[in-house]
Amino acid sequence: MKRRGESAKRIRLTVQILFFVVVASTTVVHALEEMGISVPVLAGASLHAICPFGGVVTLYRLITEGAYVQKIHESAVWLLGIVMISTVLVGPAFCGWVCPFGSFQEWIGTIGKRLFKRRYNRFVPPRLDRVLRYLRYVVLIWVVVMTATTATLIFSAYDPYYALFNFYTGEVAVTGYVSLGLVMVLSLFVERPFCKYACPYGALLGTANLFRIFRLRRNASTCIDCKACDTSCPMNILVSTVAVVRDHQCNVCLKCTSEQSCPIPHTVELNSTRLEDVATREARQ
Amino acid sequence: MRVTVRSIAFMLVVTMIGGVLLLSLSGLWKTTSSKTPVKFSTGEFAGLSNPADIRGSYSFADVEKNFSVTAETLANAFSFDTSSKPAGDYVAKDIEGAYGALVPEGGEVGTDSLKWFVSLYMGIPYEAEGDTWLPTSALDLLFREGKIDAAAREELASRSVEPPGEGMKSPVVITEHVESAEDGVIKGSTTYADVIAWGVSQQQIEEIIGMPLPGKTTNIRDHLQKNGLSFSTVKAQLHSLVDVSGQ
Repeated sequence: MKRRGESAKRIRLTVQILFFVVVASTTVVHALEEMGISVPVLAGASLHAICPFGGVVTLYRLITEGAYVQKIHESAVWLLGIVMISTVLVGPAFCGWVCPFGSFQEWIGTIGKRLFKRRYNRFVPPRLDRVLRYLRYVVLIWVVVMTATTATLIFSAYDPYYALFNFYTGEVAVTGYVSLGLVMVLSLFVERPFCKYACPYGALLGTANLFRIFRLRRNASTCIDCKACDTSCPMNILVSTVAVVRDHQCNVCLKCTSEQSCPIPHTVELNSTRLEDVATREARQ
Repeated sequence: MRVTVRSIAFMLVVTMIGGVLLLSLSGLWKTTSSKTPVKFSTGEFAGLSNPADIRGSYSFADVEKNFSVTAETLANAFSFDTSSKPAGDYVAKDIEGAYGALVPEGGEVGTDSLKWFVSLYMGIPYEAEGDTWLPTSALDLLFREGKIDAAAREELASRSVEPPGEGMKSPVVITEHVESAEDGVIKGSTTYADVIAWGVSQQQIEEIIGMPLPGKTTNIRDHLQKNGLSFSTVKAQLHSLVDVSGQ
């Protein structure tokens, strides 16, 4: 089991690194282009061009005026569509696997885990935490409305993701550096603080957990109630208390599943069918 | 049906990277602006491009393509040197780079200044940001071409800044005395604008050099040398016209 868990971790880490490198390289190439140095690979795209959230904020203008918000291009809308396909299928796997800023927070979090051991990711009182988790919907509404009314990328001045990949370009507002610094410090105490409390795109994708085709399911009949799934969840979701995880914060990292933390095979899985039904069917065969 | 770590990794890589590759191959993956601003859909200006949608990445040639303002006019307005670089090649964000250090605190000359200038030039309403300024050369040009009246020019003067002198220069056309040139004497530093200011028409100059002017602020000697023409020959012909117009 442990070896299988390690293999699953390595696969996810590889995917995270792949997308982090692609995004970082693209922004570096863009910065070089801005300085007049042409690079043949990954040329032309800015960070805004390859962020699917740009597709969200420009939708209103695209529908009403047939134009894009400044700095947003067709590519962002296509990426939004591509991400939506995987999100409808399995939920916001983009957040848990692809988003380089999510990965960045997670990697900083490994320092926090070493410093605080079991206390890590348990600092925020649950009652306060529950309320704060909805803050990202406020951010989402604010960003979409403000972008629609001003036709400018209002969030980029505060966006720590933009600040992370453009910190050396001189294009980052002071507020961007502040929010990046804040997220980095908070990541030492809380796993993925920006994802949990402030990410507008995560807020949107998180709603897919209510209707995704493949759902994160727990087989109550085989569960031994060890709570391994709960303690492994970076988003503090109590997987052991539900049959289907519909929590809007699940980012499909699959750490809770029987492939990684759960010690009992086929007890926590991403599956299109009820796990009890799967077990019954397999028993009959 | 179960989704494993392996299958979700495969699906994400294939959909994200494969999707982008597929879009690239089909020509649908566009990461830069099409440089076509949104048009007014209603009202007096319906069908015209909206200056408010000019982006920092727009070149002056893009602006010329979408609005009734030539790249040359824009270069003159913002005092860009067109002898070393064609007017159409300047981009909106060059403005901020050129004026960044010149504008006092609280003011800014940048892409919004270009939007503002184009809207004033075309008579289209546009509300510039409170801290947006214009170069004095832009105000002079707008006034000279009758796009703003004296009262508006005076009002806007409080939000204007002198353009950079050296390097970018450009004595814009021509109703005032040109500081850089001694009246009537064509030298290595003389521009076509100087000669026009001394009473020679653009058409007369074009007849002598046998080609359209690249830009009024272009240095004559550099332009002739670049095109394989004799500076001394053209200079003599231009001098005779200057002398005639001065009589």
